[in-house]
Parts: sequence; C-alpha cells; structure tokens
Amino acid sequence: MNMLEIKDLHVSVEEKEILRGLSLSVKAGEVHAIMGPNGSGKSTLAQVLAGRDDYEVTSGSVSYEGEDLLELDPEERACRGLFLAFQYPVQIPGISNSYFLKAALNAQKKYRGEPELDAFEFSALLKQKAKLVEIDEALLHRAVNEGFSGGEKKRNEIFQMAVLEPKLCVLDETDSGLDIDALKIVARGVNQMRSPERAIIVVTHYQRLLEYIVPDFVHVLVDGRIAKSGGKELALELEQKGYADFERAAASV
Amino acid sequence: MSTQTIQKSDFIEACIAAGGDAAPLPKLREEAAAAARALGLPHTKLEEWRNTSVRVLSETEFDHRPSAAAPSGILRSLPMQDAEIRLVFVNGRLDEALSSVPRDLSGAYVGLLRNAPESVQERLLSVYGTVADWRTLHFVALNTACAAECAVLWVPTRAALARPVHIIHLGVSSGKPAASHPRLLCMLDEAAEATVVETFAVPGDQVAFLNSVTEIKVAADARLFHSRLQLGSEKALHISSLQANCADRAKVEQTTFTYGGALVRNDTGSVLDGEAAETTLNALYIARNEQHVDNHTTLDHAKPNCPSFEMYKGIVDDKASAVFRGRIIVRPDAQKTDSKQSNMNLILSDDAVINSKPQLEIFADDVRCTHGATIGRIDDEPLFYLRSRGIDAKAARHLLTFAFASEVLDAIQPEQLKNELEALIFARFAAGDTLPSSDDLHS
Repeated sequence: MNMLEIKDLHVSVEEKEILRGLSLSVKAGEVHAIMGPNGSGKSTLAQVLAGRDDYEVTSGSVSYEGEDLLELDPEERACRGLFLAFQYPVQIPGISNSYFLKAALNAQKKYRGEPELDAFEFSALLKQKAKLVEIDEALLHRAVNEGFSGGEKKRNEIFQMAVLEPKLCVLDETDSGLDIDALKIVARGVNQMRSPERAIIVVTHYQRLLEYIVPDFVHVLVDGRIAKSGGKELALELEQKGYADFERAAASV
Repeated sequence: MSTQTIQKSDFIEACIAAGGDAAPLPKLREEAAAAARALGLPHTKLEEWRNTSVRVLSETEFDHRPSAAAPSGILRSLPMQDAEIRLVFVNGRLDEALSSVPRDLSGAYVGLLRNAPESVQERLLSVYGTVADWRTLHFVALNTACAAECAVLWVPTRAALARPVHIIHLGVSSGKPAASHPRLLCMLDEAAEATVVETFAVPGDQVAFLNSVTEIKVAADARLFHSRLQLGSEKALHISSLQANCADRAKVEQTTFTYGGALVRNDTGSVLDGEAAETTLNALYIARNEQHVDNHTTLDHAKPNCPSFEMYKGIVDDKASAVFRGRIIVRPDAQKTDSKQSNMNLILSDDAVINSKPQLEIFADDVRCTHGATIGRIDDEPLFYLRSRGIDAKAARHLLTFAFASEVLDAIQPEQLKNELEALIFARFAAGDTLPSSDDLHS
C-alpha cells in the first residue's frame, strides 16, 4: 500500500487555482524530490499536506496510510507521523526550543497511546539528536527560532524532525538560504533518517540539495501539475536545461 | 441617579476624618487634605480620567477605620511570601506578627517612617511628599492626607541589600468594604542598590479600596529594582501612584503586574533628573470578565543623555477593558534623550476594549523617541507552527498567550518572583491542557 496517495488534487488560494490536478504516490522507504520553478505550487503542496487552512482544496483526494488526510486537523496529522520542515520557520519568543519539543513529543505520544518521556529520558534524547544535526545545545534553551540565523533555523527544523521521528517527512525548500557547509549538515541529518519505514518528500527549486540527499524519484512540478517524473538523473537534466521547456509545454496545454 | 448616592465630598471627608494620626508632618497633612478637598474626585470630563470612572468610590459606603485582621494563611497565597525582609500592612497598619525584619541589613533601614533612626528620619521627612505631586493629583493628595503609616526602605551610600524587600499591603474587609491608603518611601543614597517587591492584595472576592502612593528617590549611581503586584480579588479597587526621581546615572527598573481588581488605575512616573539616569517601566496586565485596568505613565526627561524604556503588555479577555496612556516629556535641556515605548495588547474576545495613546512632548532637538502600539489576536503563523508539531489548537493558543506575557516577566527581579509569576500565568492560561508543567519552561 502507498503511504501517501494524492489523486487529481486541485487547490486554490483566494480564488486562484495553484494546484491543478496533481497526483503523486509515495511508498514507505522512498525519497521523492519535487522540483519546479517559482510559483509552480511546490510550497502550496507542502502546506496543504501539513493542513494549513488558507488553502482550499476544490477537488481531488489525499490519502495517508489509507485515511483521508484532508479530514484531519494539523495536529492530528503530526500525531499520525506527518512532519513539515518549514521554508520559513516562525520564531516564538518566550517558549524555549526544548520546552516546545517536549510539548510536541508528549502530545504526539499521548495521541498514540505511548508512554510520555520523563525529564531524564527527554534530555538524553535531545542531546543525542542535537549531535545528529550538529546543533549547538545552547540553541535548545533559547526561544524557538528567536535570533537564529537562517542556517540555524533550517537545522532546527531537521532537529525537530529527528526528535519527533515522523513517518512522512516533507522538506519545504530546506536548502534555501543555506551555505554549502550547512547544506551538508542538514543533508547528513536527513540521510540518517532514511529508513524502510519512513518516506521523505524533498521540495526544492535547485538540484544542489539532491547531490547530498539522493532521491529515488524526481518529479517536475509546473503550473500546478506534475509535468514529468523520473529517477535521480532527471534532476541533473533540469540543472542543465532549466525549467523553460516544461513551462512552454505546460503553457501550450 | 438614585437618592441613595452619597455626595462626592462625603467620600473625601470620610477618608480624611479617618486618617491616621501616626503619619508624619501634620502641616503637610493639612495642606494635602485641603488639596484633596479642593480637587474632589476626578470625573471623566477630565482628560486624564476620560476612560476611567471612579464613581464607584462615591457610591460605595466604605469602612474607613477597618479593623479586620489578615485571614490566616493569606501570605501563603502570595508570591515571595517567604521573603526574609518583609513588612505586612493590613488596611494600612503594620502587622508585626506577619512582618519580619532581620537585624543585619548592611546598614539599611526597613520599617515605619516614625520608627526610623533620628538622623535618617530627618532626611526621609525632607523627601516625603516631594516626589509624588500631592498638589495636583487627586489620589496622591488624598493619600498624603490620609495615610495611616509610611513604610520606608532606606539604603545608605554604597550599600547593597542582597535580599529582596517585600512590602505587602492587604486590603481586608469585614462587613463594609475597607478603604486604606498605603504609603511607601524608597530612598537610595549614592551607589546603593536594592530590590523591592510591593504587593497589593485583597483576599478572595472581597471588595476593598487601596489608594497607594510609592515615592522613590534614587541618588547618583544608585540602582533600584521595583516590582508592583496587584493580586487577589477581582472585585478590589486599586488606585496606585508611583513616582520616581533619578539623579545622575541612577537606574530604576520598575515592573507592574496587574492581575486582580475590578477597577485598577496606576499612575506611574519617573523624572530623569540627572545626567545619564535611566528608567525602565514595564507592565503586564491581565484582565477578564469586567475588569478595568488603566495605566498612565510619564517619563520626564529633564537632563541630557538619559535612556528610558517602556514596555506595557496586556492580555484582555471577555468584557474587560484596558487603557494605556504613555506620556514622554523631553525638556529643552534633555539633549540625547533615547526613549523607547511600546504598548502591546493581546485580545482574547470580541468584547474586550483597548484604549492606547502615546503622548510625546518634545522640547529638545537632538533626541530619539520611538513608540508603537499594537492590539491584536494570536497570530495564525505561530499557531499553525505549533499545531503542525502535534500540539492541539487550544493548548497552542494558551502557550502563545503565555509566551506573549513572558517578555515582561523575563525582566523581573528577583528570579524567584519571576518564576512564581510565570507559574501563576501559566496556570491561568494553560490549566487543563496537555502541556508539560511550567517547571519545564527553563529546563
């Protein structure tokens, strides 16, 4: 069974149709890259999956582990194992990173009927995961994303992902704003999370990230639809030729 | 209007008639009484009182000589209840059994003005009534005419009181609502340091009227942390005037935390009366049901090179209302003034009312004054962010409400007070949620 099954998805924002019949199937263990030019609907797809309600799904369906994902609140999706690494993580002054993560992890565990972690177990878990994404432990005690550099924010997203251990990870332009060293660290963190039980969707504009997170499938998203799907070599082709051909093809439909 | 209404002057007269006899300076007292009579009670046609009616004072029959004792265990309900240096006043009178003043105070004096050592008393008396303006401010006049006692904190030159001083004023009614006029004078000599917490509390859901005046006189290079807490009954009437005067390089950091009270009016001001003096005025007011909280602040830059900071934050729910008027005066002499003011309000209901008004009066040309006010609800972006991590919408909202408050709390001294207020607010907003306890906030 596919973990995620998107069928003919149409999504509008303020009357404007952004996704126009997108279909995608993702199995556990797979890494999918969704590439596309600006405005093609990449981030919309990521946000719709996570449950942001500014987007109106006008038709089509999304099933996650056999259930209608669109019927679930954002928190329920998270508790069932869906994680979105934000393109622009928000800062939350007044709440420490570590408190935030404890609240999130315990909420998820409670939802799933698993025992919550005690202070000792939680602290050990944070330390271990902090190493994984090479995040400074001092950042754990600072307010969520407050005063973080662009790179620290992105690393913090991957850190949260590592702590929450989701089944389906959606990375929304996690590479944007990262220098090459930070990019490698983030990629290393993501690669360590690859497993047969977990699926990862990497949304990106550039091929660069895919040199470090090598996908099983690449999809080209143009004008709200998947224009072409292929293996990792498709990303290289895009790097050389750009999106222009796809955009012309889409425009002529 | 009903025929039962008591004449306005009756309220003032009743206060004055009951005024304590132990307070100092009988002549000042008489002059203040004359001023109080002449001023009467403020009405909403006055600009300063446009948004706050005190009619309840003339319409309520108060007990002006309340004799109720403090309910047992009352201290346990207050933050910083175990402060070693502590004066507890019940309806304006010192309760010695509840108070605690250790012998060794590094030469400082904490106690009643009338019991102060003679040499110090003389100096205190020369300051008493000169910092807060009893000639034009209605309730300062009334307090100066009626205060039963005056609490004093005095710290000599270069001395530092390491432990916080807690001055607790309880308004306790038995039968008719109690009225009292608490008074505190803080005087720090050169390069002295102290931390003071001043708590005004009314137990349970009692009605009581507390009309307080706090005068703060800080000499050159001295530093004072002052916190004012308004706690307890949401039916209480708190009118509180706090005025500081800062000499060269003196520093006052003042935070007001308003939680209780049906009617709360705080007039808070500081005169930056020496070069490079600094004042911070922060506040957090949390109101619900029909509570009304009015904060009027004045930062008066009289000398050059003075920074001032002001952050007033409110969380207003139900039909509660809040007023902020932030006046900044920059006198012609006060070049290089650097003043930052912000008033941020979080509204949790459709019926909450906020009235925010900055008032800048700048008479110098080389100054920087910034101000900003916001009135809004919880932002969608952080709410979605928390929910996307598995925290349910209700808990996420509560956590963000708490987070909004914490910026003010972070500046509070001492740490213990900060933690206790944090726990109080956390419990108010996040009780019943599946969030980790507030003890984990700093882990």
